[in-house]
Amino acid sequence: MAFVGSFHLWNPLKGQYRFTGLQNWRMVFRSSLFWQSMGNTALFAAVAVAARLVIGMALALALHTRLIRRQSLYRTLYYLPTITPMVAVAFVWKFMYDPQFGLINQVLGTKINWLFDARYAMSAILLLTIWKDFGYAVVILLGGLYSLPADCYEAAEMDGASAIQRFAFLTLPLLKPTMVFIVITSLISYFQTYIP
Amino acid sequence: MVDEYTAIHPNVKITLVENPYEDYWTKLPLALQGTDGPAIFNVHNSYHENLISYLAPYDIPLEDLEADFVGVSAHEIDGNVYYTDYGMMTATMYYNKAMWDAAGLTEADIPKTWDQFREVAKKLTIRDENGELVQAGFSFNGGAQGDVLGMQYQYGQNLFTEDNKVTFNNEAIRTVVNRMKDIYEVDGSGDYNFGNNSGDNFGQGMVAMYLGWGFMHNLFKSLWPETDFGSFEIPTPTEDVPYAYHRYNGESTFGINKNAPADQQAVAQDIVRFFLANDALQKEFCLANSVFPAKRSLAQDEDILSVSSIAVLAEHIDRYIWPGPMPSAVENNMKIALENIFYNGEDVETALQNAEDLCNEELAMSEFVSVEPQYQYADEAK
Repeated sequence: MAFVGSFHLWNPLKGQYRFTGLQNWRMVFRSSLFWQSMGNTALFAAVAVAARLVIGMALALALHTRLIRRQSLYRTLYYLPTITPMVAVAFVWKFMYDPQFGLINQVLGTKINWLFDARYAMSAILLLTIWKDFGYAVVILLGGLYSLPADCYEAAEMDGASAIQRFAFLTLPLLKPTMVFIVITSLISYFQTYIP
Repeated sequence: MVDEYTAIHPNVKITLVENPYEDYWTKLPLALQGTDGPAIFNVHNSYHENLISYLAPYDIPLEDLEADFVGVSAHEIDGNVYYTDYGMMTATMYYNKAMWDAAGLTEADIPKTWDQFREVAKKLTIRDENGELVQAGFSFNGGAQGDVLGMQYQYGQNLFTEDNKVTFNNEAIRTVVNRMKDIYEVDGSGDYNFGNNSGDNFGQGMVAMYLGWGFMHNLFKSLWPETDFGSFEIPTPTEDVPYAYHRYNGESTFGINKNAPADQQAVAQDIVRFFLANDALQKEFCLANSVFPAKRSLAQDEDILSVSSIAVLAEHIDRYIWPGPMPSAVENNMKIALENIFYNGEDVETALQNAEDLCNEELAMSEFVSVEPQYQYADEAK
């Protein structure tokens, strides 16, 4: 429906639906702002997905070891930002990024206008996004780790595989479907964040 | 108003439905497409295009409306009026009285011209021993597009051309933008990174002067009651009366649903007349929104003129121009241009031209028609 609509001048609020052929498409493809936005969105999505996966994997592995106690507490803490409403998160982080009173400048001893300076705005939004979303990957990957077959790891240990080898040749391949799931759902979500 | 009306018309039952502001403008046109939409409803001219095809014209003769209200002719469509303004909102300069006094300024220092304004802004600016800004004399951070889109009129420059294209990259707007840059970069009276919302920052006591629209008056009173502020009219390039001081936007009277049953439409027409004829209601609405009354009989009302941001408009209210129900593309593209100039280092001419081109592409798909030619001093434009 949206695709067909793209060939029309379409305003449901006033019942307007007029065929305009390729006009909308020509306007979009001619627009330098569109291409800049697509580039920014692709960069944002790539970094956010990679960070979500790497941080999620690291924390899921840490929680999966027997050395960590109170695992459910950490799981809850890590997942808390994910379920916090975006409006509340945006409000708090806007204060944290304030150039005069913001916590981040206070801690770093800087005077950066994080959200308005083109050099830092993308990093600032990425940091917020990664903080909000990494918990999702932790929970999904932890679920994946719990479901891995223990006998494979016992066999590898008996064959003398190191921890790094077990991670590289057992954990990663076995978790591949879980990671693909996270990457695909993340990409869908992050590509909807259209960044001009 | 509903209670007052039903008290004298007990046979009429009115169900008042309230919606969150943003939802309202989506739900209303959709409801008006059906047969059970509201018979009478709130209108805002920024949603003109979405609403106009559902509106019934007022059954009040045009000349009667014009006799009582200013600005009616700008709302005339083929001899009919579908809504008009009960109040006019525009930009006013707000100043912090405590900071004003602390800088040794008096009422006599209220600036009339931009050159005088810049000198006052310098006096109101405070920096610490390291040169860091502690108090900005003036700030436009976070919303300068609303200020810029109006100041070009002071140079006799309309915002739209005769063929309804927007013009951003002209000498007047370049002068306005360069002056804003100079206030920060040459005078040092403010900084792009000193607060991201000049209105909030004024209320918080970081900024001494702020150019804001009328509604900010009540907002300051409610959010920052401890901030004592006054208002003065927006400065101009010279002390001569300009083509227009700024643009205004009207607070609209009610709309009537042309698809409503005939008996409901008849009552709606009567409610509109009741509202327009009732000075007490008009006054209440104007005070609630800090707008200058469009009703001529209220132009000198003491209660209304006790609001400083309204009072300063009284002398030249006829020198404020309404460009028409501008699509949001105009402000959005000017906002992008100004961010590119102030924060991304793009040169003024390039940024304004890019924004103008983009905006005109969007306007080409709109039915917007500028009403600048209907301004009573339109023949003075360049």
